[in-house]
Amino acid sequence: MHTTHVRRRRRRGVTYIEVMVAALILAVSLCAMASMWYFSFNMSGNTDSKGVAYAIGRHALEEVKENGFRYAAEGTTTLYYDNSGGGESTTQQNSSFYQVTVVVTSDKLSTSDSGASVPADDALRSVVVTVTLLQAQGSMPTGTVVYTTGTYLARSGV
Amino acid sequence: MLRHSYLGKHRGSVLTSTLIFVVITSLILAGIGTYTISHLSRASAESDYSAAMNLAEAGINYELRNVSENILDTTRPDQLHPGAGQNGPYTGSISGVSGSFTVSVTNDPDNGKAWFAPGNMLVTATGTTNGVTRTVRCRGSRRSIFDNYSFYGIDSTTINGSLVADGSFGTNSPITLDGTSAEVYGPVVFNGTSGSFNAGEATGGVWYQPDKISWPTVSKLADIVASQKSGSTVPSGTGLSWLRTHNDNGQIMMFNETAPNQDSTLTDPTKHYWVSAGFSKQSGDWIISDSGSNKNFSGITTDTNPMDSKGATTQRYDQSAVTYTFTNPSKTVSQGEQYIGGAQVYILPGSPTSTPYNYYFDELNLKGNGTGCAILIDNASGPVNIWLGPSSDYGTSTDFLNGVIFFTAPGDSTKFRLYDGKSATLDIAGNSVFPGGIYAYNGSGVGSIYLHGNPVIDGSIIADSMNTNGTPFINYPTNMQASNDFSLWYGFLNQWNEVSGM
Repeated sequence: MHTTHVRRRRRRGVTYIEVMVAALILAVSLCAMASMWYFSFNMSGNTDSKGVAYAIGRHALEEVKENGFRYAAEGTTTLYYDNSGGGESTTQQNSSFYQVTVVVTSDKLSTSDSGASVPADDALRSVVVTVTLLQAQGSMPTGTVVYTTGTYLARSGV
Repeated sequence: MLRHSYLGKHRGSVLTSTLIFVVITSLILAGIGTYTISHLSRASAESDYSAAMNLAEAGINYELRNVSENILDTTRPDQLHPGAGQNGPYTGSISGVSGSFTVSVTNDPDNGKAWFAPGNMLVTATGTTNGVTRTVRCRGSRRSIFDNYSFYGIDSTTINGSLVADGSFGTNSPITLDGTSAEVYGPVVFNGTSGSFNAGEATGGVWYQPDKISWPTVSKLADIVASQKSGSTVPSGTGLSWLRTHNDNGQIMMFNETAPNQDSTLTDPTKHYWVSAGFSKQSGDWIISDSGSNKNFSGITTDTNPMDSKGATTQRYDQSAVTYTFTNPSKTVSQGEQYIGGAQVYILPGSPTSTPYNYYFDELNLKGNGTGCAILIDNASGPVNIWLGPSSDYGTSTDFLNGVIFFTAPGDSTKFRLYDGKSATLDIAGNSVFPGGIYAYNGSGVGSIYLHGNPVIDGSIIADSMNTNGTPFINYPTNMQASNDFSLWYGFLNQWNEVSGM
């Protein structure tokens, strides 16, 4: 009788091993969840950065196209934006999050009578827009090139 | 006992609860992870689609520049249907930008054959980056040799007197300014040369381009026309000779002073041609009533000071719409005759189609009222090309256009073109108004124009050597471009559209 009772008591209830296994599973799972959460958090940050970088990069290229072959400024132009893509500035601020570099290069240049450098009529002008992170975002460290695009401009081109 | 009973009923519940919690939480996190990844993919795809489009447009601009660099070089265009010795589609990229583009040209519409200038063309370009491909197509057309400049001296420009040019003024060489009142209502452009315009006035400023403009020779232009008209490519440099014997001179009507029905009151209703200006006959010569430098032609009244009218749209003349009728030409000029001059009135009809009549002469000898020679160019009926070519008899003799020249559509600058391929000087003077383009360049040192007196060019005048005196007025109109003009470079015309992709 005593033996049977003891055996029954041992079978019933939460055993130390059961708690340990559950704790182990929970610990491993929480690690995985934390990792997953961290991954998702970073991905969201990356997505956010790419979306904003794409928008301001495209804006920069369209602005060059709007100026056109004749009037797009030759050389490098740098602009800064905050993390929402606003707050455009020609100088870097504490809130600056993105740096947009527009490089316009002509394979043939001429000069006006005022000495200004202007594209030659038969030049092919390349436009390269680069958007760089000034602050770490998501899994991307500072200095990461988030978006790059470019095109050519020609006299009477599209 | 109670505790044992409770635990006994819930044995394994901790493990089960943990597993359920882990599974549910994992599913939620997996969903969030999938969402964030797909969101990132979408952001990347959007940027790639945009970048691919930019690359495709880069390809189009690349090709327009490539074709424009030398439109007479048939091997330069990157053809979708290349002929022997021609380039095929071109694949390129932009330094610093990932991806590439492929571009090619075809006829417009695409007929499966290689494209040649000066026809319109279709440019198709495909941009590719990170596996995303987008293709765009646009129509391209040429900018003609008369599209940019009102006045251009290629190898030599000397300005005396009081030239007035309303439009761009260009040169491949320094300008000699002996006069002090040259006025340019537009930019002065030095292409591939230094120089100054200090003695003149240029409202559009003075500009310096690094390269000389490479102008086609009249000989090459004649090759194009001869090839089009003959249906096969003529040997290089033989176009002018071909035009000398294959022209439209047979369309010309000539009236001389002994012919019937030629007096100052030509009222025969059986008219052949009419002009809204006054031909009259004095001392046996056909002349225009001219009271001097004020251009008071019969049938035309001038405004108070036409040379003050510097706007391109300013109307300088008030025509009284007097109609004169010419009947019974004394003869027609045959295709084999290449001379205009003497005491005659010549009428050069315009082509009834969009293809110009090509009149060819060895010599133009229109020396003003004293000789009694006058030319009526019926550009109202259609386009007219006049070619001046070298010959053994008249190759170096000066050509004169300083008499009486009338146009039936004086306000239309698109239907008269004169191409001078002689090494002689073309002397343009008098008081006539030329609505159209005059081009005299057949290689370095060949093609000279002397512009003096009071002529008005309502169009563009280009020559290897330009000399001016007197008070010529060059007025570049807004409607200069003609479909048959020869090309200088190519540009976007219209109809940008995406062909495939997305």
